Amino acid sequence: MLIPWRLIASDIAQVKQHLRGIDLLRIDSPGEDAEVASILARLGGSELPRAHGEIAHDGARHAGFRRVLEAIEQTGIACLNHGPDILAMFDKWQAHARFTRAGLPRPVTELAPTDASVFLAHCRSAPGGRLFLKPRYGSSASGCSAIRWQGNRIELNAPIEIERKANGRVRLFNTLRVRRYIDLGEIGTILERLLPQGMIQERWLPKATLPGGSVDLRILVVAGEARHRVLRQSRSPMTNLHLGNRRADTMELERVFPGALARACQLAVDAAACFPDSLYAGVDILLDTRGRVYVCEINAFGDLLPGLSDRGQTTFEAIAAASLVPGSALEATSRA
Amino acid sequence: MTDESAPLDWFRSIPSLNEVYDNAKTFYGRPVTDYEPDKHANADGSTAFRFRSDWDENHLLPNLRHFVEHEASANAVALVIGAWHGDDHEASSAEVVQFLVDNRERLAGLRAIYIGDIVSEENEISWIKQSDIGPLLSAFPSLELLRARGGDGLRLSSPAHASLRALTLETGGLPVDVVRDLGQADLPNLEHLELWLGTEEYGGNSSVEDLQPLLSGELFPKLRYLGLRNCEYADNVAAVIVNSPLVERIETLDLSLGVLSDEGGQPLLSLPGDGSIKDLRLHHHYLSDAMVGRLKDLPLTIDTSNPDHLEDEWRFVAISE
Repeated sequence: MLIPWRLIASDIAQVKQHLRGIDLLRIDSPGEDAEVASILARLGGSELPRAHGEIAHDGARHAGFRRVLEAIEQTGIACLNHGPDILAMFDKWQAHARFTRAGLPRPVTELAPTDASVFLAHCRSAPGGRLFLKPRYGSSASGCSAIRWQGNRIELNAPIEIERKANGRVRLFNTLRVRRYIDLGEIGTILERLLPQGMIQERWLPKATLPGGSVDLRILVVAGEARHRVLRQSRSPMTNLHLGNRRADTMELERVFPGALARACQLAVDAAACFPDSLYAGVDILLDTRGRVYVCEINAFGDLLPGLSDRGQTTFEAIAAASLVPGSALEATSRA
Repeated sequence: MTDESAPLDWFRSIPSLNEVYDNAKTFYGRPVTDYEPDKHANADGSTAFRFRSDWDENHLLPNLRHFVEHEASANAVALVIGAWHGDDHEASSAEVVQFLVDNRERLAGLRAIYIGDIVSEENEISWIKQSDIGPLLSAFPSLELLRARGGDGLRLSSPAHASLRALTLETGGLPVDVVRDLGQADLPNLEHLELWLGTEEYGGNSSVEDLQPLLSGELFPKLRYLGLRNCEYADNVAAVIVNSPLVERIETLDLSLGVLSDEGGQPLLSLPGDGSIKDLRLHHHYLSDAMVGRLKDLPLTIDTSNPDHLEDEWRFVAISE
């Protein structure tokens, strides 16, 4: 049975009613549906509607999302992935803390200052560097920026467009193309709008390259096992921002970096284990130029890998099968 | 390795845009391998060892020091220097150039040096901090090939060398000072000259006038390959090159990776079909299909692969950032 997010989110007091008769729930992504997004934002206490594609303070939407997941959790219904885990995965700073506590390799990451001038002063305190800024909450590429500087030169790359209205109002919009900003004024304009929403700054590691471009891995972990894997390849050093990634052959990875795939799979399993109340997660693994592996991100809804099969199962089938195994990870996660 | 003369194709940098994303696999006809001090290094000169720092470890110079203190260096023929910046994005190539110069006696057999085998993942071409690589020429009299990537801070002071056969400078913007350095060149044996001129946005502040001394024909009497690649003003280059005495001498004209449009295609139609020139490389261009068709009627080998979008308002060189 499929229950739309719209129904649950717009009537949160009646969650128990809406989920009546369900004894096992899979919580899926609310997606990019504009209506659901605005319902969630309202639930989170936002008064300002966002324009389509606008990058604005995401806190309200996340707060609404949190309220829905907490309401579901209170029903006591068994979930494949439990609400608190999903929320922790959606909070990149919290997820980072879990990974580093578990001793897993991660690029050096800090909570970014919310003030643009503080951030830029922090950059200038080092003669040069490069880092990724990512929104603390959420999972899409929206608002992700790559920043580098050297001497007096600074550059910000992001799929972001600045809109200036005659009345002086300035807004940021998502674009499909990664744009490059080199003007300090424009960079400041972007940072002043991005940073207050809460962001992490993550060291930008040089990635492993195979013929055709640099690569990273998305590995679906189900019930403690690394299952479906996708080697993503891009010509842009900002793969995380890049929207047109290709799939590459893991055999090629193995040829150039022997053993890296197995290390990546083990790391993905270890990363997923930081969220013990979840049956599955999509884990992104970075490989540096020497094939060393790092956890990049974990995605509660990272199982959407169409056309991929592992042991003859699609991602969905693998998750469904694992959820039916008695004594599986699910048993442990079920609090009913 | 026999001591036969190196064939011209050992001097080729990258034929197409695809290779710019990958570190060098071969150099001066030899496979490139990262030098690992704890492994036995092949000492017969048949490997081109690469030395580079990682983002988190500055082991380029320590490894290079280890190398020159061991026997493998005595027979080294080709050397590749990769990313030197490590964790310090301000670091230029000056230190490693100085190290090579200081150790010239131990590396006296070097025929080929590539300084800047750095791909965009490591550091994008316009962010690579170069230095004056001219001292390498005077330090290594046996050098045949000098190749460098990165234009920021690049100089080639007093380019004089009796046996240098190939010079390749790959940049997203070649400073006009380097073009002027070359105008003073005394390189009587140069056969392969390859300049990636880049774009003004990244420091490529030369114009076709600055190239005149190179195109006059007085320099480089043995030139066989001329590459004026990745050039924002490729149309202007095409217009003047057809009148250069070099066209009577070279075998390959390479205007690839640049912003060549029909305006530059038109003069290329007057290239002699029965002269020395055999090969015209125009990979990554903005030529119309009609112009490509007319160029293909020339009795030359022509590469017109990777056309870019003609309808775009903006035209870009292939490699800048």
